[in-house]
Formats: sequence, structure tokens, C-alpha cells
Amino acid sequence: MRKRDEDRTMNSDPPPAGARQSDFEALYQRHNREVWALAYARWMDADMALDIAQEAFMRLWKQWEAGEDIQNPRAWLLRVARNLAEDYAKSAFRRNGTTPPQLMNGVHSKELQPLELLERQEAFAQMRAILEELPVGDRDILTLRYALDYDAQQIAEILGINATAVHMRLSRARQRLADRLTAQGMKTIP
Amino acid sequence: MNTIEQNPDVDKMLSTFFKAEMPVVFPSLKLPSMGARIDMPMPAVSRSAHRDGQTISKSRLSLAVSVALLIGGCWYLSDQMGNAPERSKATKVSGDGATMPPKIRKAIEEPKKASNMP
Repeated sequence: MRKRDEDRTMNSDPPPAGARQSDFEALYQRHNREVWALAYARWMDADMALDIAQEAFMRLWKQWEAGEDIQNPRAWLLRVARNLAEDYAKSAFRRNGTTPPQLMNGVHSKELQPLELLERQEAFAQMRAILEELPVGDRDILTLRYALDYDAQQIAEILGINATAVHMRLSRARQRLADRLTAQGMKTIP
Repeated sequence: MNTIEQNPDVDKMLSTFFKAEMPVVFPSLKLPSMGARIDMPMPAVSRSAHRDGQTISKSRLSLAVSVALLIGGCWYLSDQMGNAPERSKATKVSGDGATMPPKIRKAIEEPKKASNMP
């Protein structure tokens, strides 16, 4: 609650330039994980989520520079990150897809990857594929729960739903996930 | 109410997966310096030349010369065509389509006229 109050009052009285920059960096440190998590939940792509998170913060900075009074930067950032993630769906990059760097032009990495790492990557790919089949709302909850270790109340606050709904959706999502993991014979991640 | 019931295997797998996916260190934001203006890219033209209007007049002059050359060239060529010597007018001698240059025809016709004279 204290964190939200800090956010809300941050722009009510514009501080001097240097202080504004340090305020902004503090804001970045405080919320970058949440912003990343929401972008990640949309497309299950860690690098892209990082780009979206950075873009959202840059836009917030520009708003600050333009003198816009943003009452709740955290809510603003989360909304912008979601919108950016949605816009990404319409971009040519998404439509055309891309190839993993190690396979580009048929050139493979010179470094041989350890077997364990390969197994882990395969398990991650399997997990990602299963998660992609879940509704975006469920992925939001799972990402906030397991990437950030948020409890139901914190998740509910970010997503604007009540804690009971979080419990229900989380339980259902986990059950679905467990069923699919079992069906694919995946019991653990190396 | 806020505690979330656990399913150890799935929980562990999900936790491992999401923690591995999340960047360990978020790169620091490179903010543009305070009050810095972003200059829009401009054409590679020196400002002084642009200010004097030299560049504009040069380009306009080039355009005018090109157009003048084009029009002049066309006019000259068409004039040449108009003043070109007339093609020798071959004259039909008979109805079978054969033609004869006027000089030869004249030479042939003159003796005829002379013979017709009394």
C-alpha cells in the first residue's frame, strides 16, 4: 500500500531535473519485473517482453518530460505494456516469424551444448507450448505467481479482479497444466 | 485466503520455468538527457547555402535549361524535317505502276514535241 502511495504522489509536485531522473530509475527498479511479467505472459517470449518493458518505461519518461501528470505510474505502465504486447501481434515481425539465431542461414553454433542443458531447453519448450495453449488471463496469473512469487491479493490488485477469482483460475490453470504434463510424460524439469 | 494451495510437482516445475525465463538482471534504462531535443535527420545540404537560396536557384536553373534543351531540340529537329529537300517526284508513265524521274520524262517528251511541230 505504501508503494502505491509513493507512486501516486510522485508527480504531484515536480522535483528538480536530477531528482526526477533518480525518481524514475527507482520506479524502474521497483516495477520492471511486473511490467516484464505481463508482457511475457502475453507471448511467452522473454526477450520480447524485455523490449516491451523498456519501451513502456521510455514512454512513461517521455510523458514525464512532456509535463504530463500521471497519477499512478504503475497502473499506467502495466496498461501500456499490455497494449504494446497486443500491438506486437499486428507487427510484421510477429506475422512473419523468425528463426532462432543458432539456425539462421543453416549455420550452427560452434559451441556444443551440454546434454543437460539441451534436456532443460527441451523441457522448457514443452512447458512453453503447453502454457501457450492456456488463456492469456491464466498465463497472467501463473506468471505473476511463479515468476514474481506474488500472492493472490497482489495478483488480484494488478489484474483488477478479486482474490477468489485468482484462486479459482490459478487452481484450474494448474490442473490443466498438470494433466497435459502427465499426458506428455513430463514429470520434472532437469 | 491469500495463501495459494500447493501442488508440489507442478509448482516446482512452474517456479523453475518462470524463474529461468525472467532476466536475472534488468538492463538499466538509457534515458535521453533532460531537455535534450532529438534533431530530425536533414538532407545533406549546408545550411548557409540553403539560407542564401543558392541551392534552390541552381536546381531551378538546371531544370529550366533541361526543359529548354528538350523543347529547342524538338523544335530544331521538326524544323529540319520541314525544310528538308523534297523527295524526287517520280512520275507515273503508264498505268502498270512503273515510274520515271522527271528529267528523263522531260527528255523523252521534248523530242516528241519537236516532231509534232509543222
